[in-house]
Amino acid sequence: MGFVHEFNKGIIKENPSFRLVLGICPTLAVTTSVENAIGMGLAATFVLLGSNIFISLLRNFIPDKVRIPSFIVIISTFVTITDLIMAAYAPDLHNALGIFIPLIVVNCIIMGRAEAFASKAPLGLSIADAVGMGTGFTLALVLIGSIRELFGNGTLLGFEVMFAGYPPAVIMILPPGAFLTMGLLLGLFNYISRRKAS
Amino acid sequence: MRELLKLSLVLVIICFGAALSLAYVFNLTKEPIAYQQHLKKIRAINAVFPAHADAPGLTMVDIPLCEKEQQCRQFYLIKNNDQVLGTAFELTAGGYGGTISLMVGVDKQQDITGIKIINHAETPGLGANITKETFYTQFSKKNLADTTWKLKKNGGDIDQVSGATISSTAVMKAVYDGLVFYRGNKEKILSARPNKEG
Amino acid sequence: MEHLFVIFFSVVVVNNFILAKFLGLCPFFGVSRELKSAFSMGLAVIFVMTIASMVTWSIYRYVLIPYEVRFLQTIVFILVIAALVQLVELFITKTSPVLQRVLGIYLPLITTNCAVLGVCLLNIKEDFNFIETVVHGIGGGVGFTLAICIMAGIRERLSVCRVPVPMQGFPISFIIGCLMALSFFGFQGFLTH
Repeated sequence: MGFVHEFNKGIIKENPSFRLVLGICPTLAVTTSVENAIGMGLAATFVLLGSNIFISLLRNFIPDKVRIPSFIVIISTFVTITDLIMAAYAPDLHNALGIFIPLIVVNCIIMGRAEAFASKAPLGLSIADAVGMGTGFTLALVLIGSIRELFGNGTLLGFEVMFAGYPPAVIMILPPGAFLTMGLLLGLFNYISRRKAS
Repeated sequence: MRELLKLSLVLVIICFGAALSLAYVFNLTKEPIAYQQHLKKIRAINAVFPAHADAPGLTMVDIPLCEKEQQCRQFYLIKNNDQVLGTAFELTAGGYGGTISLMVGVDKQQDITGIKIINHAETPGLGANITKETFYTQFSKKNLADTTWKLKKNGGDIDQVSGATISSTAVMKAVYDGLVFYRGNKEKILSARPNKEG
Repeated sequence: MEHLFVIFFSVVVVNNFILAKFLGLCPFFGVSRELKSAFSMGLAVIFVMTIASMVTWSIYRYVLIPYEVRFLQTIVFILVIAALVQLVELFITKTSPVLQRVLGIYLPLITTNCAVLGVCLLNIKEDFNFIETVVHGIGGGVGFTLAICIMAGIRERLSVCRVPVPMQGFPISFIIGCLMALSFFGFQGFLTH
């Protein structure tokens, strides 16, 4: 019961992008296409999983006074591992995501979960939390990426989806489109949750 | 004092573990990463010098040519056994949104064999269309003597990308300058002795 | 000299860290309710960005490259930034109560500001020399301050407007960001020769 609950909360109720509004930088930067969104989501989930596992395992070993530097070292180790593996085996994605791969280390989602959850919870629940948050983050990225790629390029995952002769609204894959999409989606989700509450 | 020692020890252990795992992953991925870089270079050269792509027996040799200290250009000599067919080299241009880097292939008769845009920061839908075949393939077979190096709307032979005069001019100018440089240093380039085979 | 001006102008206006590069968005939406606090945050960021740029660049050039451990870049940079922020905080508390009052609470927030780590990484990626790095760092901070102050100014006015309930808070701020990004987009191509 605990496992499923921790997993589910990351997807909707405490979705890191739309409810907690964390990790906005990569959310707006890499969602120019669904493929990049999935890539970033998976990379961040991997880092989240790895760091949550190790921090949870070491939670009784790390004294409280040095917990922040320890977390930073652990998280950045996983980020560097992800960076190296992507450079070696997924070079196009690595190129597309650019500096936002090393910037995963300052993604507030990962540090936030480490501090608020993994450092206090047992291994199993930490894993569930990581996978849930990671999935929620990936889903949010894919949603934004789909909207931006669909209207800004007429494609989804590279496949032509819009009717022929569709003039792409290029603004959608440029910075203003990112802010616009995020703002409207946040407003939408606010509206939905208010309706549900009343 | 004792607490300080304990805190430091924990940090040292964590950092040590981190450094070890990173060194391990780095060693694991060193070759694949180098291979990807190499592949990227070969692909660019194949794109601008089709003869190299068609006949894998050709060798390709790195020649750095330095005009002054710190300003070296990298030339790739393409040879069939000992007969030099031509060369490929990289150029940079100041585009609308930033630096454009491209690769140019030229044969012994100073005719362009092809160009390829490697990197750019031009506006999607406008300047970014310099990467479309309809634009860059026009440079093949052009040279200094028989071509007027101006945009068609200015009385020259070069077709521009619609709505992107600056991006098109930047590419055109870079290619022209490259051809001039090649003409001025042709003997030196084509007869250079390699430091290492490529 | 002109070259340095181009770097500065480019990073402040044309490739603004917040509105064009998506760096530093968390404080952009979090600390921009009042003009005064936004400006203080901006000053703190300029300060930290400049020093962090100088220190990380030097470490990269004189330690990471010679010892061939470039893959330790991320880990070393973020630790240096975190340590730097702590040191700066200590230094300010001990030497200047004035600065402490103005910048004090914002400094710890800067460690996880992706703009600071971002500028340090960009300095290496763009292959800047030391002077260019310093100019880039200062410029990045100035651009950040510019954007965050404009946002704060707009939000102060917005507090007396009737915003639809679902859009209150973050959503309307993002829409403002969209309009700001649009207007700054007009600066593209400013520096073409």
